[in-house]
Amino acid sequence: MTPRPVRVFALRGPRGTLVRVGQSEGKGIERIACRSPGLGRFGDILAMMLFGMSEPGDDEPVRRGGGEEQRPRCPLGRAHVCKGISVENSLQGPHPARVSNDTPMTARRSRKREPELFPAVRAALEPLVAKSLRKRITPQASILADLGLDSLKVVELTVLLEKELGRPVFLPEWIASVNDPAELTVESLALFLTEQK
Amino acid sequence: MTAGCTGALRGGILYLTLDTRGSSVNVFTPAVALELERELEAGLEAGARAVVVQSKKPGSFINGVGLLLAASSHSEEAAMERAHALQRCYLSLAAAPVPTIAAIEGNCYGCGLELALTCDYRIARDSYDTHFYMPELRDYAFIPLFGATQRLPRLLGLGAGLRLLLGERLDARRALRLGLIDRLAPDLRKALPGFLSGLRARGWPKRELRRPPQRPLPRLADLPGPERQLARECLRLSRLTLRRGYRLEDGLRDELAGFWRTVGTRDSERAMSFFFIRQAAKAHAIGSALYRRPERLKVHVDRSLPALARLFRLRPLPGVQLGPAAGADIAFAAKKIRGVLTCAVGSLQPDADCSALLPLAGEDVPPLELVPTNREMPWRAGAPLFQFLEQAGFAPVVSRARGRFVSKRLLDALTAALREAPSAQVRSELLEFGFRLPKAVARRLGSRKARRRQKNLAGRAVEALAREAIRALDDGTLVHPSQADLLAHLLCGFPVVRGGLLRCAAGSKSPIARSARRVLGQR
Repeated sequence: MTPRPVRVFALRGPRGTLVRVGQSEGKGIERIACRSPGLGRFGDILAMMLFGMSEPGDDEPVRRGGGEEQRPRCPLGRAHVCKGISVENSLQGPHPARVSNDTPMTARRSRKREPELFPAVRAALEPLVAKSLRKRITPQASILADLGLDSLKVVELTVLLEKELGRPVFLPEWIASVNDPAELTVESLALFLTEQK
Repeated sequence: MTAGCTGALRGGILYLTLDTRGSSVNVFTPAVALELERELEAGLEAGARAVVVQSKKPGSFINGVGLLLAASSHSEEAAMERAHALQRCYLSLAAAPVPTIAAIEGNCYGCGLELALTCDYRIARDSYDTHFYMPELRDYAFIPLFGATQRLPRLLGLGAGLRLLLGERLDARRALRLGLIDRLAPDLRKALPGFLSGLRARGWPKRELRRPPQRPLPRLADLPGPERQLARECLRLSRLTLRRGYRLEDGLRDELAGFWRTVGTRDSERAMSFFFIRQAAKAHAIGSALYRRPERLKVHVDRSLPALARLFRLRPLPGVQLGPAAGADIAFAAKKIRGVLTCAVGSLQPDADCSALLPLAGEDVPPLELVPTNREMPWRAGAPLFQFLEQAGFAPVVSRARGRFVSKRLLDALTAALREAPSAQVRSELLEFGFRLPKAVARRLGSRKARRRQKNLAGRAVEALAREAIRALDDGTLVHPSQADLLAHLLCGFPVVRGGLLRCAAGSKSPIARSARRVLGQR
């Protein structure tokens, strides 16, 4: 397979990092240039793989599901050359060391976990979404394609979110933070609101 | 279930009806465009002799292309993919071998107007809520992308076309005078068969473009600073149509490139965000941002308010009847009329249901501050009044003013901040910053006698307005930052490319920045 250049973008949030690997840089998506405490595990790991940085606290135990386990050392090493990586929503994905290192390497969602503010977002969305579509309000649902919201309803959503959260909400910043309208999901909205807290 | 377009062939005429599902206005999304294209193809195959594009929404032909799609398409591929889907639809409508007619009732904005321009003929309902407006440059700070820069100059001439591109609003009567529409009728359902009969009698002709009358070009130097560059680009694109050997396809390609150069800028992002500010202010005022009003409304205007009565007479709306106080739903009067939602104009009246101030009555879209006496927010009982005023071409804002209207407080704060500076300097610096000052406000600013130029007048204007707005938010006169942003925009022409008064102040180095961040809930 011919190696193709990849660029890594990370959307930072306090609970983790949405890492995207793509061909073009979009507005509002920050390119990983260095590792920072806010990047989260996947951002750290990808930064390590791509920029040769060492992962902090490699040997520190990590908490998972209440118990403790040893974080595995990344076998890819500092000088790994990335060839056609494809990472899909790595927010809760497994450590890449546990995924086959054949290229292309795909990190898949290991288990679904709802973002912290998902219940508040769902409560605000329910009155705006047609009854028949309410069961579609899941973290992965697109607010445009799946829930059928238009710009006026997003304004109503803003007002309802402000009531739920008790603070001003400004959704244009969330809208501007995505690269493609398909990324306007319930989960990305919940993460955006968490970040604004 | 359709996304928003259905087709029906009746008597050899294909009726394409727009009705965006779940929305109070029609939004022309790629899914709707695809449906329209399919229905058009099927109708033409079935032998349609003419095509009528119409809307099922009472107050909206098409309000836009979906701001969410435009604001969130940041990669060229994503934006172009959507633009191409829509463009294909426009081109297939323009290339239809039979005459196409746009039957326009209600707002015809942006890409909706561009869709109407691809049709051969346009007929419109004679009511004030039928409005033609290109918001792209003035409200969103980007170049239109579905042919307006190419088709408007060819239809109206360079001068009138450019004025419309730069954000001039046209009501249906003015649009008829300029040649944008071919016929005006109080009821389109009755007028359409007659229009189609006329076409049938002439053998279903397609329209032939004639040389339009030439009107003077607008002076680009008079535009606010941030809009000038975009206006020059619009003028360049419009002038392509005058070149020898001009081809529409080349012009459309150039226009699309111009759109892509301007859409991803910081100015454009901020300007698009202002749409949400404007609608949020409405949602906080009456509890909903949706576009609807009662189908029938009886309005009474007291004799003591002849200017307002004249404005309402000049702005007729379907289902709205001006008449006596008895049996009226809404009354504009000095004192409370029992059983009628009464609005006292000019001063704060505790007897009436609400008070109103019209500080800039001479503007095209005059701002109007409404103060409900019961101080309820959102003021759901006032929704019919708010919606009526909005559709009659006013820009209503609801506050909980006490003692003085917030509009007066803001205008006084601005006047006081710039009192010492030379008037000419105030006007030129504020224009450079992007302010679109209403004439009545511009006259009040600065001093004609002052000679010494002063520094950072725009910054001082922003600071003074923001300080007063924060005060109003803190004392509960305004309930949401969006109301302050909207008032600053309506009263003083605060530029949308700065993304709202308070956000602009919050991002500045002025002493008010911290308070602005606090009221916006920013860290």
